[in-house]
Amino acid sequence: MQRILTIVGLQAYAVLLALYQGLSSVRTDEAKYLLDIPYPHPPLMRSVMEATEFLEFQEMFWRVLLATLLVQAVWLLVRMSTGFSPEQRLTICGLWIFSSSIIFQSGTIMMAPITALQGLVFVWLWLSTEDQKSYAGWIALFWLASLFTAYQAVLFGPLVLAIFWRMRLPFVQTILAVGVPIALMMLYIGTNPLAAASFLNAGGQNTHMTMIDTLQMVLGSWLTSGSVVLSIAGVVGIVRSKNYALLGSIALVFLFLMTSFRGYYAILFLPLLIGGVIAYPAVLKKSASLLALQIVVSVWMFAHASLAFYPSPARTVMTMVNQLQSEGIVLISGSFGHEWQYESEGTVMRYTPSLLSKAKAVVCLDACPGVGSYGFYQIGNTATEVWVRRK
Amino acid sequence: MERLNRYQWHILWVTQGVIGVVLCVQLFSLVPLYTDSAIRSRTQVLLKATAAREGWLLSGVSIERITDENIRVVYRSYNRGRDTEGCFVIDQKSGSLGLCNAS
Repeated sequence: MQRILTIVGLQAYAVLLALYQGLSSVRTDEAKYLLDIPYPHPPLMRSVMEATEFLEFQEMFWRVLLATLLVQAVWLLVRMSTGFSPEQRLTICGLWIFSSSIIFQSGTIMMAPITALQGLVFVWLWLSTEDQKSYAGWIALFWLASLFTAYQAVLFGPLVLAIFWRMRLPFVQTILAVGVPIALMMLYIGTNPLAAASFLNAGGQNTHMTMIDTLQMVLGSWLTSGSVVLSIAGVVGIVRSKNYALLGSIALVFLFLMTSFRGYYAILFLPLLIGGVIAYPAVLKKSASLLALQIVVSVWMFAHASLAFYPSPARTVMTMVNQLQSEGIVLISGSFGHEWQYESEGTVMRYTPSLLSKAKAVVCLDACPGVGSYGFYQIGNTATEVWVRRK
Repeated sequence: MERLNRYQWHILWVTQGVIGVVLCVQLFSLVPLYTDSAIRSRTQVLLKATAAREGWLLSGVSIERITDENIRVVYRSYNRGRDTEGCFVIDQKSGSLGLCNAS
């Protein structure tokens, strides 16, 4: 009964986190995955997401599913902390679900939370004392699937290598199991020039910043990831336990963020931090105080977060455009994100006067030369300039 | 499950092999893009010009094959519901756009 109540309570928490993210509209990256737009990540997860496009509630389905997976991951932590005192186990689970990465990212439809979950599975496998040789092939397959979900899975490479090294499999088999998936991922980048271009672009996006600014952002990301308390306890645990696989992975995450910083990568720290705490339980000496402090910091962070509870211009405009009876494409001038495509039921194209004859509506985020003289009229009382075809 | 466990490595090798072959075939048709810097920069210019002229979003363009004569691309318009898709050939010299079927 107690377990069922815990599951239901955690699920309610997950749904609330998903609803919180759903209050603002779909973001450009989320739309990219939901529509399976082929960059920058490999196709595995985004094609699964696209397969659910027929669902009216596709967006909320994925928000709830991903939040559920991240929150219910505490059961894996319960398993990882077998042998710990009940108070320590509760603290470990609390540190996970009350970390700001979970609060702010678990309801987002992004690849980073999925990669973090995959990372947690690798941390579990690494810290587990069970003999894994009998299912090593499945682990290698999971590694391949992780890399074909998002490139960032490679940051957990030291853990994967350590897991296979410990099994004492034949050297060639280890290399084929760990190295071939990485080689296939590189091959995929080569076959997708758009992915390659955005990959190079992401790698150089911090070059205009000073080293100090970049360092500040990365350290800020690490601190917010585990709501300061888990962030510090986790790194202390990793260092004091001298767990070189965890140390290698967290160093890679730091280096990766130094070159390609994005706020949503913060969650990649989380499985490693919790791994550090489990690898060195001495950091849980005052576990109740630690958890209390974690909750206080997380609530403080939530209270100071910018909350946007209004539909995006894309949703507002496209809801109106989708209701038009006329046939035709939608033209958009100016710079716009993929959320405009996600909200549209019809084809969206970049504005060019030669396409006006095929259009039923024109959205002018920038100037739309010639639209007024082509049988379109402007809709009044809208924050965005929208023109629709006269009947 | 026991029987499936026995074949776990076979499943892995076959999966990796299939992915490898498919990717190698795809990469082979894009080789000029990586070996010839002139073709690479011309492709970039032609794709951007075609996208601007046709109203395409670059994220919807995937390059199928590149030769000295032309670039074969598939343009897919991503949105909720049915996506429209078309195969096109861009002439390397004139930059003109034609349908794949027509060539």
